[in-house]
Amino acid sequence: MEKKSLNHLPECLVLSSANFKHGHLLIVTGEVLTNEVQSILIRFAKVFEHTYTRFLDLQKAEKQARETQVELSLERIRSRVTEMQESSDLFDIVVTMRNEFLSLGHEADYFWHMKWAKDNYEMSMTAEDGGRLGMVITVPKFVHDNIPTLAKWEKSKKPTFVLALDAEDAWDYIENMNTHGHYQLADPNAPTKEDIEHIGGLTFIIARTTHGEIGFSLAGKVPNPPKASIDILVRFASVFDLAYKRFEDLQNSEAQARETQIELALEKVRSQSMAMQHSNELQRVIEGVYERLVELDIEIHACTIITASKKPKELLCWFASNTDQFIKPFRLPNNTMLIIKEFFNGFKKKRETFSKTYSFKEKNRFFNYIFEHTDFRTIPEERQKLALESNVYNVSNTFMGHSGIQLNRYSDKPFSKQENEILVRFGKVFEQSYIRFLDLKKAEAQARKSEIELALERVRARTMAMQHSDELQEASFLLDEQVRALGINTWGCAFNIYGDKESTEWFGNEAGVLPTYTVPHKGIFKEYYDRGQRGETLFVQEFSGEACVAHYEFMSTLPVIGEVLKNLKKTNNGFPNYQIDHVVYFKYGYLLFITKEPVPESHDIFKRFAKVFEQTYTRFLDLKKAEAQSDLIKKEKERLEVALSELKATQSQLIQSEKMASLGELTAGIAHEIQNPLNFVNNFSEVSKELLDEMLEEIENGDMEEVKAIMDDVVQNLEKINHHGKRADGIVKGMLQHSRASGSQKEPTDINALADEYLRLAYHGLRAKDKSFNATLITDFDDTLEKVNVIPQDIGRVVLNLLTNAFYAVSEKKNQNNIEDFEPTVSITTKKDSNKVNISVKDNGNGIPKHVIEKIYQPFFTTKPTGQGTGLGLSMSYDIVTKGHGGELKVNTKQGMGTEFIIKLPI
Amino acid sequence: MKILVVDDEHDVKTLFLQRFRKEIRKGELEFVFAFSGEEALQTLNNMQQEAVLILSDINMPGMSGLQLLEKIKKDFVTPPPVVMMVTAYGDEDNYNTAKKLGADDFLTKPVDFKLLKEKLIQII
Repeated sequence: MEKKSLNHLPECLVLSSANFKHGHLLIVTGEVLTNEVQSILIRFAKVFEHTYTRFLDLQKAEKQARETQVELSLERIRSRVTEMQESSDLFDIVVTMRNEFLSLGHEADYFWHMKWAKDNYEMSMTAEDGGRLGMVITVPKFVHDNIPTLAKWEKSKKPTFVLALDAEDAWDYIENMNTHGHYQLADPNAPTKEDIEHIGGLTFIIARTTHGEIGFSLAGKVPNPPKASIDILVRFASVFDLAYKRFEDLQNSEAQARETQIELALEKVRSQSMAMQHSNELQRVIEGVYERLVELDIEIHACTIITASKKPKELLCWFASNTDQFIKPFRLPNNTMLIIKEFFNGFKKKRETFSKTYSFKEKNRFFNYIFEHTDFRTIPEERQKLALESNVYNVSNTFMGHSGIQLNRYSDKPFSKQENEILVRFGKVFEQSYIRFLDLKKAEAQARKSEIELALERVRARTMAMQHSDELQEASFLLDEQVRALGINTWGCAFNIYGDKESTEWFGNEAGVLPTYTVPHKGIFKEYYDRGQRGETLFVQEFSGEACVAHYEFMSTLPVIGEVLKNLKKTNNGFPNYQIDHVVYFKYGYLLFITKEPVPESHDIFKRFAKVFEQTYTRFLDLKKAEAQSDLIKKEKERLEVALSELKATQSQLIQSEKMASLGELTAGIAHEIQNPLNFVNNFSEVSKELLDEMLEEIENGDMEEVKAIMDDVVQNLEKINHHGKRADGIVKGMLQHSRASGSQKEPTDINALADEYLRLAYHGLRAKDKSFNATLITDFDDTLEKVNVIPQDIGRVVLNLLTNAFYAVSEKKNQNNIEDFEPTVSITTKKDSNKVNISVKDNGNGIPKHVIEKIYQPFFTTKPTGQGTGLGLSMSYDIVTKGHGGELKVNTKQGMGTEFIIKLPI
Repeated sequence: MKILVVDDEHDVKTLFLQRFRKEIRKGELEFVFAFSGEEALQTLNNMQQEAVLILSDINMPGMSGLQLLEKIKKDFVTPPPVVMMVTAYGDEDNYNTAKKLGADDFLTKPVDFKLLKEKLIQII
């Protein structure tokens, strides 16, 4: 064919088209094609149709293959999601996605997933090489707000967004994240500023998912990244949604399982604390807390419980770990050191949660300090080494009202939010345990207090009842017994009471008591003594090894105790080689408590025993003093008793002499009274004899009339003789009765006869003394009076006394001679007055002056001149009437008019 | 001459009547009795101016013998009666008082009736 130039326009154009299924072949010629050519064209078209169909088929197959690839990728992602066992596997998904993305021929540096929460983004991202997870971080929401286009997109519904940043903007963004983000996992190979500058920026290609985004980054600022990559990312996003759904399901069930685990663990702690019967079981509860936390797969090396100490600037720490050794709670003093300061601060402010990673330096400052200054030094060496050698020190704390828990971790993994939350829950449960512990402790303290009080009371009661100091022997046994009952393991107890040059000691222990012995103020006893004198209250002396043996050797040289100890040596093959003497002082000596081990917590109790004993011993001394005094009093009493009995004898003599005095007064009267009847007896008997002589004469004379008359006279005379004889007899009997000592029996007595008889005796008695005396006697006796049960001579004595006084009164008045026509009158009256008989003796004398009337019944009181009255008359009378007869003795007196005494006797 | 015997003991009357039985029967002596000083004074008043010998006890309730003596000596002057005092208490006080009051004689109990008889007969 002729070569033609396109510049040369043809004269005509012939378009020949051969159609085939998908189009046509077009030939432009200058002339109409020949049929042959036409048929060739048609054949070409046919061939082309075949080729094109094949091309199309190929194309279709290629596309299908690609799609299959994508689908396979997606399928792999899907299957990876299906394999997810834990929610943390979600992080790994980003690695899978990146791998698939690359395998599909797309380019990507980092691949990430970001969950949009309310206030922050939770992001997990691959490492640079993409083969593993590089970073897990929580970023606050405002970090994105600084990039308006990004923020805008997030609020829109557009599926994708490309954020192409130059180096400066990219670094700003990263730094923002570093500053505000919270790393759960940090990528040590994260790009540096230089890296960013080197690659000239960063481009983030982002696709929306149901809960946030996924994305990948490209190096440099790439405003239009390949569409295919973006499309694939969108497809990944939808697959990720599925994965996320599954993740959420897993997370839920995981959370539930975890929750159950945690609840179970807490329940174990709770039940362990509820089972606490004694406060010393708290350490076990604390170890339980540690074990439960470990069971919850929380990586910890130790768990420390913190509680308030007795001192305000101190905390008590209870340590629990996997170590077998029991670590005693140790006191942690406040300090300016950061760890301690933050620790105290947290406790003080009751910070619910506080976790921190301390630097190596801070950590070791802290541990070096507590290993040196606190009891924490007792933890095993390998633990100390672990603490000191660890590079990182992570702590998580929770502080409640009374207690707190600290978790320690020596790995570089900081405590997660979840772990902190779990710790808070443990903290709350433990707080309950601790409150229960405090209650138990309080109850125990109270029980202990009453136990101590009881023991003290027993010793007090025993020593209080002491009558002799030798009873201290027994008391020492009791003391030892009581102290041991308080759980203080004493080997023996003693009382030591100071003397001038030596002290006396009483010792007792479980085995019994030693005989009382004395110890000189020498050697150790001098030291004990001197310390007491210096005012010490407690002295603890430890004897160990040879010193202890030496102490016993010294003791063996002492009398009494020495013998006992020598025997002890023989039986035990030597002396003990260890003991602690606790010497607690009181005013008069000291108590000695011997133990075989240190008992610092019992020192106060020892002091209390000393105090109690001081009280009782003081009382005992007072008692001794009182006894000595009472001996004196007893002697004095005996002396006084002798004096009293002498006085009584004197008194009875006096009373007797009063009787005799009144008898004396009566003697004259009695003499008269007896004389008269005797005279009559004599006279009548004489005259009778004469009459009988006369009668004989008359008989001879035969004057029988006269004889008869004389005989009548003689008979009458004999009656008179008999009458007067009896009269004399009666007087003598009365006299005897009067002088007889009292003690006679009551007998029914004719009061009228008695009154009459004594009236006469009294009158004649006075008359015998004072010849010139005379008085008018008036008697008025109640005839209806029946016999009254009285002691006749006693009542007679009273009547006589009253009459004597009455006569004395009237005679006094008469002797004053200044009253004309004074007729001394004494009257005696008896009168029945319902259930009483009144005997009244009344005179018209001068009456009793007022100042005298109060004294008239006092013994030895008399108004009569010396020698004339004993002063016992009225006193005795009063006693006879009131005490002897249950009656009353009344007196009515009127100055210048007279006096009336009334004896009222019950019938 | 009548003899007035004053004594608070009633049996004195019986005794005198018997002791001086014969004398009374013969009418040699005549007795009048009073049992108290007061009664004696009354008797004396009733006897008017009759010559009387009074024999009185001293120790009597109410008016004593000595009071009676004093009164008799004062009130009964004509003829002055002979008063003989009789007492159980032969002490000097009584004797002197009686003498001072003008007693004519003083007898002590127990009365010696033989002697009294002689004295009475002598006086009368």
